[in-house]
Amino acid sequence: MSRLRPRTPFLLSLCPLLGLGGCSDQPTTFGETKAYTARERSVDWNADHKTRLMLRDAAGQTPATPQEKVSITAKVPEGWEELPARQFRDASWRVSGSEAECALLASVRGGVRGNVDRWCEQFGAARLSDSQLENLPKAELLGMPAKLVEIEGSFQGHSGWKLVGLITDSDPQATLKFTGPGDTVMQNLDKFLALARSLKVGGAVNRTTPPTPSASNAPATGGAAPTEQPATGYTGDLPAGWKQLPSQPARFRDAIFGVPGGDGDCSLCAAVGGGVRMNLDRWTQQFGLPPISDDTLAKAPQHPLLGKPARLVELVGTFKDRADQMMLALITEGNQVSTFKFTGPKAVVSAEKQHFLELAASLRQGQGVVEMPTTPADTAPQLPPGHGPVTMPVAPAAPRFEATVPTGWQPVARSRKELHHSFGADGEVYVDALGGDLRQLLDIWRGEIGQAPIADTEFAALPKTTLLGGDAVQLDLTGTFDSSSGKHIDSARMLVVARRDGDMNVFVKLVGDAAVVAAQEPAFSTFCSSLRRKP
Amino acid sequence: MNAATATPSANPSTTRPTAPAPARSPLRLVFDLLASMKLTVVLMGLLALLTLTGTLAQTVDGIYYVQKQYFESWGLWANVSLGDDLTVPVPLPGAVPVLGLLFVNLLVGGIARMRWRQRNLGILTAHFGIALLLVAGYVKLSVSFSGHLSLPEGAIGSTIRSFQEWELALLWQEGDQVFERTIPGATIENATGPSPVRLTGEGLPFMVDVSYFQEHCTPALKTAMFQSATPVVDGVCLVGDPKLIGTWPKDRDNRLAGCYVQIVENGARGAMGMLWAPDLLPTNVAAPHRPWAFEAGGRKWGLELRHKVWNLPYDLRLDKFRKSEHPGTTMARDFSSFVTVLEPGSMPREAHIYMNEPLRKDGFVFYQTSFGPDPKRPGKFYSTFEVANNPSDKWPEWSCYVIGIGLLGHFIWKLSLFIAAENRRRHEYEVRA
Repeated sequence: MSRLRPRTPFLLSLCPLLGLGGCSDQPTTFGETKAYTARERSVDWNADHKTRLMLRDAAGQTPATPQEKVSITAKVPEGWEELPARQFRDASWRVSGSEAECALLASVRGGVRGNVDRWCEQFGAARLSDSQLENLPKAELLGMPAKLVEIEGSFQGHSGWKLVGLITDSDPQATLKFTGPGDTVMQNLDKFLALARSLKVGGAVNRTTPPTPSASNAPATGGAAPTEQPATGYTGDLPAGWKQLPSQPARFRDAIFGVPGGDGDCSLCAAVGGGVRMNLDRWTQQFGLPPISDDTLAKAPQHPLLGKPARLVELVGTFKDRADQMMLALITEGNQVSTFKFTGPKAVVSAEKQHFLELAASLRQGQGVVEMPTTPADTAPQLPPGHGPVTMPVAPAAPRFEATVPTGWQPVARSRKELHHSFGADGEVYVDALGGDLRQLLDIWRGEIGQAPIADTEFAALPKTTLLGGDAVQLDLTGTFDSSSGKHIDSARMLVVARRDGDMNVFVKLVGDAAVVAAQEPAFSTFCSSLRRKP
Repeated sequence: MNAATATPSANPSTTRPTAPAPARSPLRLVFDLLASMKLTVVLMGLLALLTLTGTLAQTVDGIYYVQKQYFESWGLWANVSLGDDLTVPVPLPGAVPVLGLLFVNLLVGGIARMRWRQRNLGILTAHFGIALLLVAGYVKLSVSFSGHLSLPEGAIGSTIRSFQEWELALLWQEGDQVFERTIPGATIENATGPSPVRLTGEGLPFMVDVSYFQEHCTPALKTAMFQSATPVVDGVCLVGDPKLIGTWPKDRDNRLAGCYVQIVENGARGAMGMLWAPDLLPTNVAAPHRPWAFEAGGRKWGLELRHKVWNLPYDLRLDKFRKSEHPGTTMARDFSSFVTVLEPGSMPREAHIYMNEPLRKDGFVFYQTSFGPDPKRPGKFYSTFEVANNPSDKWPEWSCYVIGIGLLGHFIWKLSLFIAAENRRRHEYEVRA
């Protein structure tokens, strides 16, 4: 056997390949200049902030302007003046002729400890100990108990200044800060506290979220707690325990809701492309399920979403490597679809399904009708300084309507619908107001009872009646009732009286077993005619 | 040659003591170690361990990070799960030193030390094939790059965007020409807090301070609902806190990086801007570059955080996208693209790109990767091609042929020896019979 060739040159020739993985420091200088034609590098030099950062043009998705903040009413103390709105302040006042200013932030994060520590830091003062923080005197702010903090020190180059602050122990917190020369602040302390008591959140709100008192510290005033409001242009009536989180418009999450326990994700994506089919297929794929056929989708229950009929899709499977997950999704029809999804462990989603559907029905954009009842500060019993927290559950929004309730109807407890009553085995009747188009609502109700959307001639021929002093249409349907909440009545009858009322559709809806409903028809008629707005 | 084999044993019954083995030189020791079959076994074992732990880690960390941590590194701490709540960090060498040593081991033990004789030709050839495979991996690691090109039907494009690597680009325009200077994203990725990384450039009348880099974030309107950990610019801030924006996507492809930049001109801090890189989102298919614009030195400039881009030396036009579906569903059975390569001075070249049938052109390979609905034209689609430039693209295939030929040659050689031996035995048997 002969040698084929010398080995050494071969080895040497491959040695340079062994310079593996050398590390090098990253340069901090821009590299060499490269030139491109305008076609190769199409540059939009004039793209504005919104376009560049993909902040979509829906309400509430443009940078905040002071005019859009929480509407605050207050009794301005004598000798004080209200200041023009400023960014990140919901309202501010000044002691006339002085530097002492008072600022209200109706919704801030960071907790009591975080905010108080920040104030101390601003004044160069020592942090309060836990016991000091716990034993701070109490006062009232926006109808909620608040801790009263006094800090002295040097603030923004001014020595001898003082801060008197009120902060609620809610989530998020509300703060009212009074900052200025020490003597001015102390001379106006009573006026400051009077101002705090007089503060009320009112009017239409479309941006900032006033805080909701937690169940453990809401004042026992007998009034309803302020309803939590969203930070974006989409609002809804939050079920108990739910909260609204900052929206992520760039991620197509126009409204995000936190569910009780936090183990679930609920978000609204309004008017995006892709169509129903693309969205459905993506969802089923995410859950490892076969695609939903058009027929199945057509039979899915309908439920209102942003004033349009939407199909309710329920998926159960493995999602993001987690087994036993469930998704409830509402999707409107057309190329530009809106979706409202609720994903999480099956137990959580199942338990919160009804709340999810109620929230979906109440979702609206921008300045929808938002009622924010607060107890008038002037009449509310005031907690004495140092009074401990008083437990009170979070109450739903205050009722807007009242009516004469027929005998035999039983009120439904803890319902977010108004004048919600039950009768018979599975009959129910309630009053509600929803946005959107009335005819689309009619179609949703027809869909619930297995009937096709209403034809033009049928719509024109609907019998008329009077509701709340205005013209209303009547709907009388029979069939198999399947609601999006899962309620099923084989031989059902539905009676609806509905009318346009401003931007909303106010309606009275009764549904139940056909035989039982027939017996309740006169009562329903009486109920509708007695319906009136609460003064 | 060791002492045992060097000692003549003319008379096996002789009990002369054997001479002590001469001490081996350090160079020889190293050579023997590198040529050792035991080293091969250890390295193969480590590779198996890396593959196993890396594969398991992908379920948590995503492919990009695992590739960097396990297969493009010198060493790592692998988290080995011993139960639901017990994870033990185990130190492991990265694939770079393991494969590097394996390459050396192959050269020294499998090629250099082996006698280059005809009978070893097959084994030597197979070892050459394995070496070529390792070299191909190194070349790919060192010089290759890949990205994607997404085109709506009828659109022409030539810009490839990386899936995972970011860069900060400084742009300015003079007439019809756009000039660009870039800096790798790795330069600024450590500037995650308020302390900035200062970027300079020869001839630039300003410097750029980059801060608050976040690998995944979203611009959010600053409201009183939350406190921002980052500066608020024109009412908007970049939010990266998973508590506010949800868990970050596992794969880096789906992360949307952002940072803040501030211009420093003549020592004075100037305008502050916010950069965000959503360029891989489907809604940005074929969208123009939208830099944050500022003025300095009497000229308009733009800064853009984006996925790293390369320009092809020619254009690609998507003529038609075709998709067929499984019967009764909208699930794609297959999808393909009809494209035309438009090169100055050449005739247009039409091509059909579909699964496992890429277009190869001037070192670039275009694979059909995905598609989606064209956000601007309902009912139409855009098509996405993965574009790879890898000089060693075909080397693994060639190495497989070389290894196959080597092994086949060796087997044939062994078979011929066996047949010859059998013939010899049969012949001897017949003679004896």
